[in-house]
Amino acid sequence: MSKSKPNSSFEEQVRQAMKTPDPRPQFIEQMNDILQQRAAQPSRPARRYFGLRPAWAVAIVILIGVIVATLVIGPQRVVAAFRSWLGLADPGLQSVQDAGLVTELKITAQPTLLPTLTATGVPPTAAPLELSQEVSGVTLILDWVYIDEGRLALGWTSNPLPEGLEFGLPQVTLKGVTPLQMQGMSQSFRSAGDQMTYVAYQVIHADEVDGKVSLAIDVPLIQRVDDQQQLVGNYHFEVQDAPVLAGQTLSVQQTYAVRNHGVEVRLKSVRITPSFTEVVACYDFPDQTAPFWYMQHATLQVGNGPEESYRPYEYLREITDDHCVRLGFAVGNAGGEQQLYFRVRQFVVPLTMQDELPAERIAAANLALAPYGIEIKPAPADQSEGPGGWQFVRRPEGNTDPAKDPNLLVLHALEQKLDGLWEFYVEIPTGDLLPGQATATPAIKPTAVGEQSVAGVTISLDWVFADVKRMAFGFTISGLPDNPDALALSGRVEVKDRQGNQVGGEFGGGATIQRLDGQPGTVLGSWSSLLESPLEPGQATFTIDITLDGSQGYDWNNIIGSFPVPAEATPYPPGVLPPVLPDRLVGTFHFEATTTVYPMQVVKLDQAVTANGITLRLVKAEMTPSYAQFTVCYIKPSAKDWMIGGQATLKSGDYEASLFEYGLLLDPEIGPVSKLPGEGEIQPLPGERCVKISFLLGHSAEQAAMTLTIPTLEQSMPEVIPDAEIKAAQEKLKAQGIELDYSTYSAAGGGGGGGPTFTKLPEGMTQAEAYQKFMEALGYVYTGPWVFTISQ
Amino acid sequence: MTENSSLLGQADTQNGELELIKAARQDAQAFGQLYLLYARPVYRYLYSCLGTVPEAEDATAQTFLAAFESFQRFRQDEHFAAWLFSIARHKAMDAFRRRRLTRSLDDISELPGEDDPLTVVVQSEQIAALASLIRDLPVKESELLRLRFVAELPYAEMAHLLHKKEEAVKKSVYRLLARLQSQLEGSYE
Repeated sequence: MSKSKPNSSFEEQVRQAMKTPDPRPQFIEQMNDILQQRAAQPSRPARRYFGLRPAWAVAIVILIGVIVATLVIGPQRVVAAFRSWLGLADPGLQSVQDAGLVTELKITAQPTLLPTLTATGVPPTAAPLELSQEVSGVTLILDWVYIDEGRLALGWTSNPLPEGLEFGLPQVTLKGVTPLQMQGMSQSFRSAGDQMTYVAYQVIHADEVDGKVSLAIDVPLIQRVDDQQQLVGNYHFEVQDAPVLAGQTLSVQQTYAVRNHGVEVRLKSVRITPSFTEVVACYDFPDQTAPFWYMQHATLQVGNGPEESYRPYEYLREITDDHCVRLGFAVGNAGGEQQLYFRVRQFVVPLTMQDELPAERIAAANLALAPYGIEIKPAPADQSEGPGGWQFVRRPEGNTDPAKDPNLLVLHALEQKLDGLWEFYVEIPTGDLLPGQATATPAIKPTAVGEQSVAGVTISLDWVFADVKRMAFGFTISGLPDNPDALALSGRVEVKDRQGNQVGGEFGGGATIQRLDGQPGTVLGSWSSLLESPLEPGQATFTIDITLDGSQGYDWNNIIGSFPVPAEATPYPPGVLPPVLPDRLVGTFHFEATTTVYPMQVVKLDQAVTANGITLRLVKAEMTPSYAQFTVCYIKPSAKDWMIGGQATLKSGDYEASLFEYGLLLDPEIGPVSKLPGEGEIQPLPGERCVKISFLLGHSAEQAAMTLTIPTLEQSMPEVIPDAEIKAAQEKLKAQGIELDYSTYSAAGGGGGGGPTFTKLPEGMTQAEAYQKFMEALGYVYTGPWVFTISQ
Repeated sequence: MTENSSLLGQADTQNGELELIKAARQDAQAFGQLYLLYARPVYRYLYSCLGTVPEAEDATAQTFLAAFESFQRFRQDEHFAAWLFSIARHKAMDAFRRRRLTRSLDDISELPGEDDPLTVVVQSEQIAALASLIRDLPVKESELLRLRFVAELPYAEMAHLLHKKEEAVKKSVYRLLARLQSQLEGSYE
């Protein structure tokens, strides 16, 4: 294919190819006359009294309520109030949160990348020692020691080690001083393990120790038998008054702690030889309800080599105040690499430690198992068909694909796990580190969680949720300027799946945002998107880029979300742009989040409900935890355009959602409008109209049934209503205390419009209620109701 | 890609347009000036969508009447064109729904015939080939071209109308043009 670039000449060709005729001058003039006549009328009849969909009108009222509630209940409960507001504006998201289907993230901490002190730039110098000891025929010489305010380094040599013997990690004790921020250590061995460099990270203030400190150093000599370490002997060195250099001049560094999904992992030590590496890492349990969490998946990458998984794994039971593991990796540093990466990717709760899983775990697993035709139920341990306490209710027969083995699928679905990335960078203390020589400083690879605090503004990704139809996440932004007049959060959100596809397609998603009272500069928000292309059920990883950029001021193309504005607020006059947050370009915050993608249930139905002589058939339901779409067929009251009324609701447990979208599939007067969803999936009866209606509420409430209520069918209002119909309606309404004027107009070539102006209303009746009465009086509303119950 | 100087809403006309909007807020009769500014591009756009003069005129009339009625609620002065064309798009969809022999937006560009706006003006074989390629585009892509080269909307307005970033719209149009040009060149090789 040619790679020619389109130019203005080609654009002109496109214009030619798409050229259309000009409008007739008579038409332009006639239309202009009509507009002038309309403009000359004293008032313009309004065709509708809602600028917003009813659901949004409700949402705005609720937003105002949140502001008031903030003032009343105080900031400590605002988050809960916000969630409550979210639930009313988007019941689907609220229900999945309440059902515990979101993945809590709370990604706030950056990796604690050492050093914490600023390098002085002074070339490091070491104090020569040449202390030696012999244990079991192995002589160990402590060649030098180096200490500054942020680093301690030791250099050793030894005679060749006999087969099976190795040096363990030194234990260094500083006498008369308690070092601060003990943050990991690394030891590297070179040659056949007879040259060693050790680095430990802690803070010592040189002036507090008068520039010197005494050390006690113990180095174990160990023998490895069946992956277990056995102590052969111990070398003990005493170093008096080793100089402590002011500042921090040794540039070697490593990541000590990474917090992701609310779980911190701490890299305590790395011991790397030419042929293997040993890592000791400690971690928080993701939650305290599970009996135990294993560090299930962790890898090591030396230089640009391949990532290797650990072998063996040892939980360090001797450490009682923390959860720590020693991991062995069959990869070392024979090639003189200068850096390595240690990555933790998954924690799991082993099923073998859980005799009886909670019912909600079984229910959640059933959602994931449904696409495979598998269903399970809780069972006592002695009747369980596998670890965890469960039995099959149904499973496919005759499966020969090991990847779809029902037992394995169940175990995978039941396993409580936390996926994420905790990435640690370690500079290997190679021979180049010898103090007195220049040290290389390899570039630090940025990690996803390392970019969450930019220019004083911090974004915390609080939770993420995904199902086949929707993706959403919650966030908290702090450190913004305190500007209560700002109307919008300026910037953009870009969410992509692992394949780089933009979530939400070309239209992307939308965010709702809210200030936190009592916390100036803090914004709480959620972003969600209906998915143009459905996700595959299972696990999915998303990259989320949030760019905060207010450098262009108020720009509709660059708004993440708008703050709720009270209805009574004075609008900004034309041409005056309201302020935005932030008032500058802050930068892009990059996150990576992994979460469960909940499947969609597709249920073919044939429920028929007759009310007021009209039968509505519910023929299909498509439901995810946060979204539901129904196909409804019916024979219209007349040949006109009878739609599902806008008051339709879907109720699931305590949650209720208003009609979100309406789409016409088939109409006897028009024919098929949209492509019918699948050959033979919908079989309309002769003369039926079929429509799709959707709601931002799914089955996450785990109720046995959902209730779809369609109170009315409504006819779209024609451009021109016959005078006789208007008069009849006026007479009907007058008896109810409602009086109105109605004006109409018509346009050349057809079309036109009109609307009522209410001149008298009963006390307490709103314009909206009066408009509904007017529609009913005109006969444009056909009352049901039609109520369907959808069992799951 | 450089913006065509004749495009609506460009910097040299935008101030004037804002003045017209301001005037229309104070005096409804001044809305006529906005109508005269946009009547032709809206009509051309709707004709390109609908393909017949009566339907294009009807939809144009409905677009401006609807815009006139709701003008007092319109607040995004700098995006009048995007707002107006969003109304026009809805009117085009309404027109499709009213058709007895239903044709979706996807289908309409696949309907050749005497009334096809793309074929009546074909002046050369290459333009005809290009028109054929455009007819075969998915509706989202043909809509991009329609907004850009028939309605002559600037990218900023297209972005606002399509709820996309301006750069994304530019890239989409550019890539689409590049692909069309490659296909066109390929058909002549």
